[in-house]
Amino acid sequence: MTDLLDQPVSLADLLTLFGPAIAAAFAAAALCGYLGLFVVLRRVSFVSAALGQISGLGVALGFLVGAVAGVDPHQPTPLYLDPVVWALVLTGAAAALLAYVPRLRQIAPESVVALVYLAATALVLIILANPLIVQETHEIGDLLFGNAVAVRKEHLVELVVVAAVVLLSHLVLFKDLLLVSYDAEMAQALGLPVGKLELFLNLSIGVSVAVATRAVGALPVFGFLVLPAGAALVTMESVAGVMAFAMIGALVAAGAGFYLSFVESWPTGPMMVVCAAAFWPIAALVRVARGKRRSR
Amino acid sequence: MELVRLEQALIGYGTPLLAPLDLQVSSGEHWAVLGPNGSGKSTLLRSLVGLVPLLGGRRTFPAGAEPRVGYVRQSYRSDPLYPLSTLDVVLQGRFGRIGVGRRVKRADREVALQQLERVGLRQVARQRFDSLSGGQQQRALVARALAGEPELLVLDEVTSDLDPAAAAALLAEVSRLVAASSVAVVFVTHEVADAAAHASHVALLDMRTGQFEAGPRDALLTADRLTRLYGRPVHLEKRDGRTVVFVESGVGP
Repeated sequence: MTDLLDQPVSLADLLTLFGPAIAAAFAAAALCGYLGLFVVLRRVSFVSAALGQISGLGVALGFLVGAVAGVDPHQPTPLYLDPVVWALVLTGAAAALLAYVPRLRQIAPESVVALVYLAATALVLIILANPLIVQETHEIGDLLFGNAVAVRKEHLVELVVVAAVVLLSHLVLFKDLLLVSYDAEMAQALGLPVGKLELFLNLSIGVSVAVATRAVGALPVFGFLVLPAGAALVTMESVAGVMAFAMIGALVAAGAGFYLSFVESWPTGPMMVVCAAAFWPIAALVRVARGKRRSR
Repeated sequence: MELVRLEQALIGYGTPLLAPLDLQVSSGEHWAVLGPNGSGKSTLLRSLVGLVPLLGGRRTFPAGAEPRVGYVRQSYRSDPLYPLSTLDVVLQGRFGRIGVGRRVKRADREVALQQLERVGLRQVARQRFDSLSGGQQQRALVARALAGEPELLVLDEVTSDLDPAAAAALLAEVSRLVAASSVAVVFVTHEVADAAAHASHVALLDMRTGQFEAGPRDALLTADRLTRLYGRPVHLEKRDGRTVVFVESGVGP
């Protein structure tokens, strides 16, 4: 047995063991890396963190309601008791409501985001203390802090389908979504359906956060959303450049984080976040070097 | 052709600023909106283009369809986080014509570049928009409003960030546009002389006194009306075919 453990693990073994988890991490990275462009530009970074907690709350509530109804969460369940459906509905609704936070005048918007984040986190912890779902506690903990080594096939499929739909629809609507984010009043004067476009953008972020959180955890999802796009905006000079940097950066962070966590036995989700954060000092150096070159 | 009509319109945010007002804007007209600071000029413009819903009355389009609008708002500051070139920003003005979900074509880029040329900024088309000076940004925003080939061009204090020469050149360019096409222009200004030089019609308003008058320039742009509007004695003189405006300061010997 000791001999077996000491043998080096081949790439084939790695893919066999962790194939779904690696695929989920890359799908979440590509999707969140792209959406991060809008999250950072619209200055709603912490809205995405709050949405991750709401997603966790939805899953916890789903488990609790299922337990009360006497349903085994690991067997096929009715749709209305599926924790993913609870997460999607709660996150989608929260995304639609939180979209209006930047427009608040009488209340500091970050206070509302903090309220949602704290309330969702506290509720999750209270629900996890319920003896009815003691077996699911570890799973929900993984969900909130990220443990991408164990991804179920159905969660991977959900994530890939949502990523494909969101990325393709954004490919079609990109210029309009960017204008609505940049100058909603101009978009309205031009006759664009501003309300519908904003709702679509926020719902697509909310649904993406919900399914990506379910697959890889809230912490890496938040990291993929804000860190590569933030670094890209420091470094790149065009929208296309920022988008490419953010997506590729998130994919690199996912791959490097997964590899390092595997070889060093460090936790996967946090390693991905550390790798994504590493783009910031690099971006700052590039910025400084560019500034010096221009000043010559 | 009458493009947009406000009938017994109540304008404001929650509370009406003025008594119900009527205003008709037709193709080829060049309107100047005058009034003291905080008189409701911008609210009138925003109501005219549908950005602020009316609190009462109606906004109608006698020609049938809502006109294409080009709009430059007061004191717009671009968000420097967005890595947009000047051309990117000007192209946005065509998105209403292009349609939601449709791609920008080469012809759209050509129109945007032509409008940048018109305001003297073609050479900075590839530069980041936020790297331009305030005056250059303002001219680029006028180019954006023109890029959509509007039927109704609405300009809210667009010359406030410009030096006198640039302001005169921009207003002259807008006047040329009106003369060469059937576009209607409505612009807010604090410069009575600009209204006298460029406008065919004027609207005078002040929510504090309840004054609202709209009509042909020569009938409304009188010393008496302007004195009442600004609360200071105003004198108008014709010199070499131009109107010169004097406002008494109320101080001095």
